[in-house]
Amino acid sequence: MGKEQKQSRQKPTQQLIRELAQDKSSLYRQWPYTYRCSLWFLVNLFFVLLITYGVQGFRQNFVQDLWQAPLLSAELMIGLTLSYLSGLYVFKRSIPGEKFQQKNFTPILLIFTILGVLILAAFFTPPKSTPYNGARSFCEFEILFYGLTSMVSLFFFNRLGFTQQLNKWERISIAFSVGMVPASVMQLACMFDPTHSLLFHYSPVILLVLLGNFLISIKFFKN
Amino acid sequence: MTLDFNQLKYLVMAAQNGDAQAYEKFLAAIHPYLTTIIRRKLSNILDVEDIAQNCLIGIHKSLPTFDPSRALAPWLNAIISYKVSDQLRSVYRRPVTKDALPANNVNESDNGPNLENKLDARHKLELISEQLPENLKRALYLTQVSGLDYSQAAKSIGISEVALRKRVSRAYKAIGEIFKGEMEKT
Repeated sequence: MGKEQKQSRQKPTQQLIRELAQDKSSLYRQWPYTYRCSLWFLVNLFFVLLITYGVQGFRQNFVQDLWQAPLLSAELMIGLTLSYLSGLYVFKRSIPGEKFQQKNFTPILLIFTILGVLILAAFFTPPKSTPYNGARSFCEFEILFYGLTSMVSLFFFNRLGFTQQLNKWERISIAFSVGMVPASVMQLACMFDPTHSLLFHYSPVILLVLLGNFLISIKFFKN
Repeated sequence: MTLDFNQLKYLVMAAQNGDAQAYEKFLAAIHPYLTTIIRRKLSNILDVEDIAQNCLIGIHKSLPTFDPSRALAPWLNAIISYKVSDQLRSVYRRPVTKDALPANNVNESDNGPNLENKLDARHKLELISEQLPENLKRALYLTQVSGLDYSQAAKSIGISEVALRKRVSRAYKAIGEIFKGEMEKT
């Protein structure tokens, strides 16, 4: 892009216009952002499930846990919903001219609040699973790594769009959309304990906000 | 400069369907609009044609993102704003030199002691502003030299408008103090 820009300055605008018109690579219409986001989310979920299973497998009896601990199932569903809704917001904002509206972010805040209530409720609910069952040595680093990989794919997907200067809501949305999938999946793979979940599964999502700020500053991800 | 955005929208839609001629027509039609907007946003501090060309490339890259069910103007203006801000950021990251200070005060038709006084005042101002910390110098340059308003200037260096106003105020205060010191010396 930079090279292209430098080249463009050396030629008259009319010539540049003619050359751009002859470049067929941009003469198409993107899928609607909802389709693109859904595709990205499914691919991302599949990737995280696959790699989590590949690294150390899932917790023993995790299917049974899902049935026996409604809080676990609810957290899983809410976490994935939060990721999808945040992803939708990020994809929408990558379209030029899409203005920030608080109402677009309200569902994300609502789902986040529900997740907070569920995590809090888990502290007052006796554990259904055996303590330390499925404990993984580096679950927090796994979440960070999977989250970062997803973030790169998200930025790459959105590179075709036109991400504007990011405000705090977008930064948070990016972290939620990429971080909540591995954090939720880790609830099935690693031990299900509220303190452990809060410290090692959900906290890395906050770190992803900072890492996202760094990644988005890289020229490659800008249009 | 007014554009028929409805007509342009049809050209964009045709371009998205692979019509290169319609696309060329669209780009040629928006070029004068781009230069007008850029000139209005940036006064005369940068090469308008360079930025207009960058905008054309930006529009070209973003063409697939245009949704025909939405209006064209916000889409187009967002790309222009983004490219202008991008250009401003790259310009203001460079250190401010005294050559960048305005010559607005100096009128070529002036002569005699009037011109000398103005040149002397400008020279003093240059010397004083050189002593300011970089962030204050930049804040002063953006708001008083480049012709940007406070919100645009704040956006271009990534701080809030309030913070920028504080910096400008601090810069004035610092200039006052330096000037006072100079006066006392003499």
